[in-house]
Amino acid sequence: MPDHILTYLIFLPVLAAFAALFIPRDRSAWFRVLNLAVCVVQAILVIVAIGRYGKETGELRLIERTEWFSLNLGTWGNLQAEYFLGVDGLSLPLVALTVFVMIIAGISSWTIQKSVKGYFTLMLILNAAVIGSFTALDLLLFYLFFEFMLLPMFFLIGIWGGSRREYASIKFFLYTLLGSILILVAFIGLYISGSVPGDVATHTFNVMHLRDEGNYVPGSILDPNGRWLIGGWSARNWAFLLLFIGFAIKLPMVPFHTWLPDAHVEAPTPVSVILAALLLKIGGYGLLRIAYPLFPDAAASLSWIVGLFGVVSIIYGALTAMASKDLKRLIAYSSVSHMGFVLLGMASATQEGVTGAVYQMVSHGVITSMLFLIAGVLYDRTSDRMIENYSGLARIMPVYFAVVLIAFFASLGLPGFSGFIAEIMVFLGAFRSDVIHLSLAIIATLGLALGAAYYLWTIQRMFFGTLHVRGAATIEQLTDLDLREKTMFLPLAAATLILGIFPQLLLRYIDPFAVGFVALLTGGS
Amino acid sequence: MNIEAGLPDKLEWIRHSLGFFGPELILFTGIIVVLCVGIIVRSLRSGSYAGAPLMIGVVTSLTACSVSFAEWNQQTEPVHLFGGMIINDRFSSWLKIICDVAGAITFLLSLRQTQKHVSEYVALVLSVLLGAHFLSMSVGMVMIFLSLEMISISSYVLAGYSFRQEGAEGSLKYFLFGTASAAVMLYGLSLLYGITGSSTISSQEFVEGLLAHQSLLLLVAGLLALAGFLFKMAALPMHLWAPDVYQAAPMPVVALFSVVPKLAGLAVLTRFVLALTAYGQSLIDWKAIVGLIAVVTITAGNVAALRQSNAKRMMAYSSIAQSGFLLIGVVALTEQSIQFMMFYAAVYFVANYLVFGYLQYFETKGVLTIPDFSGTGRADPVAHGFLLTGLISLTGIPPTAGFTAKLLIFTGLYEAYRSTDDPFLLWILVPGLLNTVIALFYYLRIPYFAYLRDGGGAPAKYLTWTNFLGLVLVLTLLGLFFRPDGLMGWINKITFVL
Repeated sequence: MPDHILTYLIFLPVLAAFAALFIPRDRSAWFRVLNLAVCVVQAILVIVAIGRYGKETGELRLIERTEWFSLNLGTWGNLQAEYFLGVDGLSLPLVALTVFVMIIAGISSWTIQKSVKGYFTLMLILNAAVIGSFTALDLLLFYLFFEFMLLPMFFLIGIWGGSRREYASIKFFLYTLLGSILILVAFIGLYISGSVPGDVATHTFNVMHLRDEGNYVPGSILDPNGRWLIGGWSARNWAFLLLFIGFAIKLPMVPFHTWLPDAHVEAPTPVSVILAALLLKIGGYGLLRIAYPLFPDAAASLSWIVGLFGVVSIIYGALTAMASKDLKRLIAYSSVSHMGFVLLGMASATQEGVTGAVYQMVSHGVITSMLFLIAGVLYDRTSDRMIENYSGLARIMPVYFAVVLIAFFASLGLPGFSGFIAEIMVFLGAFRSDVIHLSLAIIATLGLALGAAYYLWTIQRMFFGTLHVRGAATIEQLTDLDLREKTMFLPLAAATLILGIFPQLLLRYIDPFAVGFVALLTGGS
Repeated sequence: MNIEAGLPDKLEWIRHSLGFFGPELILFTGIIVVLCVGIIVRSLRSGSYAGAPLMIGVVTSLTACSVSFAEWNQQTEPVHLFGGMIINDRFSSWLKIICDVAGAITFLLSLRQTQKHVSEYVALVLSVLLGAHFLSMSVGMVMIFLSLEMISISSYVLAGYSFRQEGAEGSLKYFLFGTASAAVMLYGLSLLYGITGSSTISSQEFVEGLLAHQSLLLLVAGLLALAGFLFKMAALPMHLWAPDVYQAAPMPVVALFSVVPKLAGLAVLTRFVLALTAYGQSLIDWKAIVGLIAVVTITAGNVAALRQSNAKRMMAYSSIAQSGFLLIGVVALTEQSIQFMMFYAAVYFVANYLVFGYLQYFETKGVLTIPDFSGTGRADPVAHGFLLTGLISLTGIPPTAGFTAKLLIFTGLYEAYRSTDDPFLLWILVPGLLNTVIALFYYLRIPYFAYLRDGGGAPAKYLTWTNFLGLVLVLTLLGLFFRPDGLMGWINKITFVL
């Protein structure tokens, strides 16, 4: 039965963005309502999609597949691109996360006053592009959505950002574009080398075809059975490396992370939320969906590099977070640290590790949304995020303090919260893995201690002690959370608790995926 | 044809050849007609007919274009004309079609600026088109030189058509560079004639002569001759004229310069390089030489564009960089890569005219330098939205056809690498693609100032002819991304032989 639910999910916001162009620009409320309505309808669609996805076997469901175009390349045959969508145990949780975060970010965006029309139009386009990236199973289609995120994000940071917004937005764009060019080099090689089953002359971008090593043209550059060498090294290793760096820039991984703190510090709160909770996940998703499954042989020999840089990210991110004076910068670096766990988990190539990596992506999406909203609450009131300027806030902002405690404890991996489940699985995988050296896994645990340290120290500095503020802020500005803010934090806090207490809700989707993923990797080595 | 043939045979041959000359004869007639009309309009002493010559230009170029289209189906085999000096095939027809459409849009853009000497202007633009037609078909050295000079001389005059001092300066610069490079090219061609004993680069004699003399002299001669074509394409190291000329010339002329002479130069360069490689038997690696030129051109054009504050100068360097991307099709030099190059050429033309059309639109509003664009994005979202699409397409980002074109042209290179295992091709591939990142930096500067910086600007009307033309071009760029198969189907019919 043809099922177009994913198409509706992607194109509903596109249609809404188009409709928004015809709404007069002074009707701010209309845009807010339109955006929220779209997200709510999407949420209903996702619930329906989860229902239709049914029994959790980890395989692809809700597939939509038609030919997009077929180019005649003369003597090389045809180039076929498909409109191919589908979700499995990896992408379904991420699509659900996207819609969830989009609703929260939409509510948070109500404080935006400048060019509301342009803002919400870009948000809707971004929404479509993120969902498209998580569901596309054709490399060209994926690349379209992947690149389509860049321009809206560039303008969202560049127009609505803070004082250094121009620098930050350009830096974000250039880094990400550099990454996507590296990815493109690998994609061109893939489609030239790959073909549809049974027809060597028809080249394809289809991820599922390219997974099967029988579908590579004999003698082509990326043929798994041929040994094409570039500079004395297998071409498949090079391609894996290109994809790894390309997606690692997005993730971001040390040393390619420097765009992230700038982008986060300058971006308005809802844009930071989307950037951290969703766009970073596309880096991890790309590795799990494309780099590893398409190059299991290269992954087997190079996975230790992924793990190594994962650990470097964990430690370096945590140390820099500890040294940060700006609350938002601290949170941005904590993201670098936490995304390192995703790398470590997948590099372990064990079922636990991969499960932990995916779990961490979802969990981090929820927790980091809270963290950036927390920074936003402070900034909205005082336009000052310097940690050292605040002390004793717990007395005058009790609800805020409670939210901060939940978010910080969830983020540092306290049992009962979702981050704990994710990190414990990652460590189970890393310690059991043949790929990751034991010493690396041990060093990574240091990241947990550092995480606890910078969060607790921040709480101690900002919320305990005598009440006083320094700098431009005044105590009168520091009111407690209002109703709108409470409605944003409540579902997020609930989600991290539920995922921490009932991990099975998510694991039943992720586990089958991880089993298949590990089987694919070990089958290929 | 035999040289010793009698006069009746020669006349018969010419009569036969003229039958394949429809588009050129139409352009030629158009030039005569527009000059006559110019005299009549001037004697009427009435301003209301000022647009008439431009409309004649539009009609002439579109007619020539449709005749080329009509010939398309009969061109299953290339036809040699006029004693083998000219070759009429689908490769040249395709470029002629692009050039004619470019000419028609040039006239439409010129409508906005009331100019002096309109009929002469139209005649000159048509002459450039006619020269481009000839150049894209030429294989005889004399014909190559004549048609190249036909483009050049008309261009020198057009470059100064703003009738200002800087226009005259740009025009003179163009002239000096042009004559010098033509002399260099002529010297190279004469050496090649001496080496091979044939003046027709497509002849068997020429190729055999080349193979018999694989020497340093041949290398020098070939490089000298290439210089002339690179000058027309505005590729390194013959690009120095471009920024000054672009800055001084009127915007429609700049748009014309960025497409028509470039593509005609590309056509003759492709034929010439294929002849020089002697179907792959040459000892001198001409493909590597072109590859080096391509990479240096892309990089230097992009890096220089970063530092410009004048929009026209920036676009001049952009068009230099784009020449390098077009040359990559020549580096791979397979039938597919040349088809991809034709696709790239078509997309480049559309995107470039879109950008120049809107640059002209803003120029008439007094926006000249890039900082002048500050804040205009909010006042005029439609114009900036369309301009942004054009710039994105030139950068090569989806969902525009510029991405598809870059994807294909690099596919050609990839495949050439696969079939030859020549690591040099990889050394072109990687910097070529990385240049996209540099290119983004300056292509985004206008939108950056328009949206991110604050500034004035009165709200603009949306329903204008400019926006209509812009919409057509924008839809073409988007359409060619989502459905490239239709255009590619046409291009697939281009068979490239010398």
